[in-house]
Amino acid sequence: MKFPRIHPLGDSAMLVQFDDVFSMEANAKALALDRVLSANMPMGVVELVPTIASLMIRFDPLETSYLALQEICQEAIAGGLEGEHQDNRTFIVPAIYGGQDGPDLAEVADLMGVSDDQAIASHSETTLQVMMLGFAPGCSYLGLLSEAWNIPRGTKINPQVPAGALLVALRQVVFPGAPMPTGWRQIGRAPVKTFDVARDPVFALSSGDKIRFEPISVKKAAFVDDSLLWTAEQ
Amino acid sequence: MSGLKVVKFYPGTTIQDQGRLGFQRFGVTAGGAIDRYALAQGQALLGNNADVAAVEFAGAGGVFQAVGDLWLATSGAEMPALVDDRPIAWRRSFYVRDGQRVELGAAKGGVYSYLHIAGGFQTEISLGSRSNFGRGGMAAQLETGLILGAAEGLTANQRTLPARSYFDRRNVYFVKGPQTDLFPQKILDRFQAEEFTVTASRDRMGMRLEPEGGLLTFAGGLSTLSEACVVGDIQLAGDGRPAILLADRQPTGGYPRIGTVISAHLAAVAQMPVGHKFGFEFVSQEKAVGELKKWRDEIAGLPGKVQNLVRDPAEIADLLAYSLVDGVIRGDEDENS
Repeated sequence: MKFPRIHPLGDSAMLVQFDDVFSMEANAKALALDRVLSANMPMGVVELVPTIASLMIRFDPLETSYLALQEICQEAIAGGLEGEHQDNRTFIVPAIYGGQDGPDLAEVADLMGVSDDQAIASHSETTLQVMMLGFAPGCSYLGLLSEAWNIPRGTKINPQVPAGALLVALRQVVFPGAPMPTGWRQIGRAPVKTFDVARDPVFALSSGDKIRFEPISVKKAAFVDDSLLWTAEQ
Repeated sequence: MSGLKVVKFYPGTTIQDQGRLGFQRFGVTAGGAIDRYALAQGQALLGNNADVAAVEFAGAGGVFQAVGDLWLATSGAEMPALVDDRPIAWRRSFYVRDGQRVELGAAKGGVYSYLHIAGGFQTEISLGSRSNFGRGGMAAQLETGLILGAAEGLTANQRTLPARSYFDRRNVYFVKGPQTDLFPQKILDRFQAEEFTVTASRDRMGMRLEPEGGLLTFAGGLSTLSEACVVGDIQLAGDGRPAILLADRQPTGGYPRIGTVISAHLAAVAQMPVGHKFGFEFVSQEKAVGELKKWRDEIAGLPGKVQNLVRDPAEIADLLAYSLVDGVIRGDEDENS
């Protein structure tokens, strides 16, 4: 099937799909269309929601129409969505691996066929991109880890992981902004808040941001002050 | 501070306004009152702005006590309502004096009911909305003893709105979406031909439906990449029971959607009681937008439909204690009341 595909989603939204399987290229296009439209928000558009390989456009159908927006999207796509976004921010985020903060580290290293230390090294040397936020407030999906991380999701549901948990599967890292249930394996925890309604910015991360985790000890984690982390240029 | 003190409430009771828009890209669902028509009825009765907050009940009422003199109104699924021990008709605005108790019983006919206050409840704002979103810990939730603050110095009138029944819709319109054509034709045919029953498996996130003609299962199944969800999405996962996503839906999801309920039917769908049977009817985008326009016009016209209550003094039990005080001595009622 040919991509991109544009479909109505209800009577007040539409979906621009760039692929039906996971790909960083499709993710880059979804984020690029999000940037193009955000920079010059078409009349009647209420909200843009980029995800792994698609962009949802919510609009007021009494102020604009699906057909008008379809044309605007097609023009933007024809104009080219290639090229890395230059303004992406990069954050170096401290993380504790293993122990109580990463109860599934050994199991994950086993599945990868490497030692715990090798898994930590591999995880923390990769600069990841925020591919989307979803599922729960401030919960980001980061990717991609190397092929060795192409492990399945866990087989049981963990009723609650803490905010900042590093959850891995399918070469991705799920990085929750608040405690939540998950079926993914937890290999570590970043002692930082990516979501805090009492803070400005409320959401530390946006789709397209880059992030690299830096291993720290449990002892050192107690002294992490993330108040400057999200505003500092790195 | 004047306001309404929470004496007793049941699970599912929340504070809701129009919800928070613009944060779905950060994983925050819009939420907001599940029945926007009922929300608008309350605003019309009290002359409130459209964006103020009300208390939303999910089937069970509660007990409240006035702190200061207040103007309140009720809307949505009808509940028995008492001020102290005096019954108050549903879908009207009324005056309560400091210390009086307001008691609401079980909802009839529909599911969601609303209690409004002049100027809206002044509860905590989180990301631009007072709507509670429990799982996200957003905006102060109800708790016993909490005073839901009232705006100061607002008055209203004793008014009522004619009933408009939309809780018993038998044909729900839906439009096709990105995954509709991925379903086997036999499933699509059955989806449009058969009846569905509303099950007890429902909350503000969504409602699960029981297909009358057996489970809508099919070989292979479908899985999709995680995509943004909208209110009204009809997900059909492997268990063969469709689920309609409602106000507190997940912001993103990977279950295939057979279609999406049109915006103009969302309030009716949310209000369908357990056991209600209905069918899905495919409509075009044009029809869906036309229905939305009619629906919005009807909501915009609500203030014009509000009627001042004309009451026979002989029927008013507590004339001296109640009516003279708020009706005559206040002296700020409409001239034709």
